[in-house]
Amino acid sequence: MPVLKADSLQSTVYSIPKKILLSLFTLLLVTTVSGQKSVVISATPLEQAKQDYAFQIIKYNETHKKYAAAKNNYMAFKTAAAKNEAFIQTQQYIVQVHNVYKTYLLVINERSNLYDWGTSGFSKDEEHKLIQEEIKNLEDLRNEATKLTTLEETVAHAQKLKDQASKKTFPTAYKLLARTDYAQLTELEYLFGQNAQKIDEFATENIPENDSALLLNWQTAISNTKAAIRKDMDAKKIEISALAPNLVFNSDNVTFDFKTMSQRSLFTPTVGLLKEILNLL
Amino acid sequence: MNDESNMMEGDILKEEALTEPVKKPEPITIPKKSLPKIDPAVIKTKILLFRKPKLITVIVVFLLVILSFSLLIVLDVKRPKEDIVNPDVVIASPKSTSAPDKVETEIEKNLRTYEEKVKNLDDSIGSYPPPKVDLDFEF
Repeated sequence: MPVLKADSLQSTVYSIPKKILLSLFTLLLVTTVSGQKSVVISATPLEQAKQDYAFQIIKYNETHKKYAAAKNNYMAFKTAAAKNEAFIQTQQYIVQVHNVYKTYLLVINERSNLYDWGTSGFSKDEEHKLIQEEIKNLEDLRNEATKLTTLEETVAHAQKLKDQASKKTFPTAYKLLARTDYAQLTELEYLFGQNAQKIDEFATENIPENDSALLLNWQTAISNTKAAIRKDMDAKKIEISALAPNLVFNSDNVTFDFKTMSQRSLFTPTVGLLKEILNLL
Repeated sequence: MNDESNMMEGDILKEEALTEPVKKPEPITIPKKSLPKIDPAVIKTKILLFRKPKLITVIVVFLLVILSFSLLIVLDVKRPKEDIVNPDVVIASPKSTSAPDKVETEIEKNLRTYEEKVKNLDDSIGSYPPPKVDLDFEF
């Protein structure tokens, strides 16, 4: 008959705390993770696209450093090994440039979904189609880049990519961004008009007789604001429509110059203006 | 006749002799197991182990943690979803203004949406500068 030894029992009992700690840790982990699940707020498509773009920019900077180091090494020693290393790093760098361009287009594509294009007179679907076409072009070029075999080929491919960016990628992006800006402002213009109309109707019914002059003043201010906004919006639409179809950007120092500050500044006081008459009721 | 009857008796006796004697079944006996011997020294050791305050503290803390976590999980499961939308508080009013109230509420709601959109005016083309990359390769 087996008899439990006191020593073995003691050691078994002393080994329990370790197991307890392990199971306790697991329990804590599971509970924390399940608790966190409800706290985590899922990112919007635009936020997700921005995160992807930021990640590609980080990777771009890393590959650029490696490319520059390999290039300098090759230029200094001109050995076959240095040339091969320069080719590998340059190829990876070019591929990364493609990734940056692509994710940038995805960001501005998502941004355009923030606004209602209904009153802009432009078709969002048409713009998205152009962006998708450009993404496809970049993907084709990226595939080409992965098949390069010599350092000389990378130089030629870089020039090809530069031309693509100047003549297609940046003009497409600029047009979408400008039209999104316009759609954003026309949506605001529409909402301002809608709100003003409803408030006007409500105020006309409910304003005390003594304040009817104030209502008239308010109505005049609303009309003037509407007219000012419309005038500026018309000017902007003409500006967008006048964009050359074969727009070219200098990819070395590209800037998107579509100014809407004056139009935007017109909307800032409109909230106060709309609320003004409600305060009198 | 007598011969015949003697023969028949003989046959019967033979048959009786052929049948095997029935063995009586042995009574089933359950092997008795002896009860495990209890070593008083072991029991003493066990008792002494539970007297150790360190071990008792660890066990109590563990049980408390398990209990509190289980309670938290149960409470979390049973908790009704929080309604963020403020409930409509009906305040008694001397005048019956239900229709204008509705209009006013709608106006306020639309104004809030509009205000949010106006606040988002910072989102413009300037917020999305094109990427600047180096593509001037010279080897």
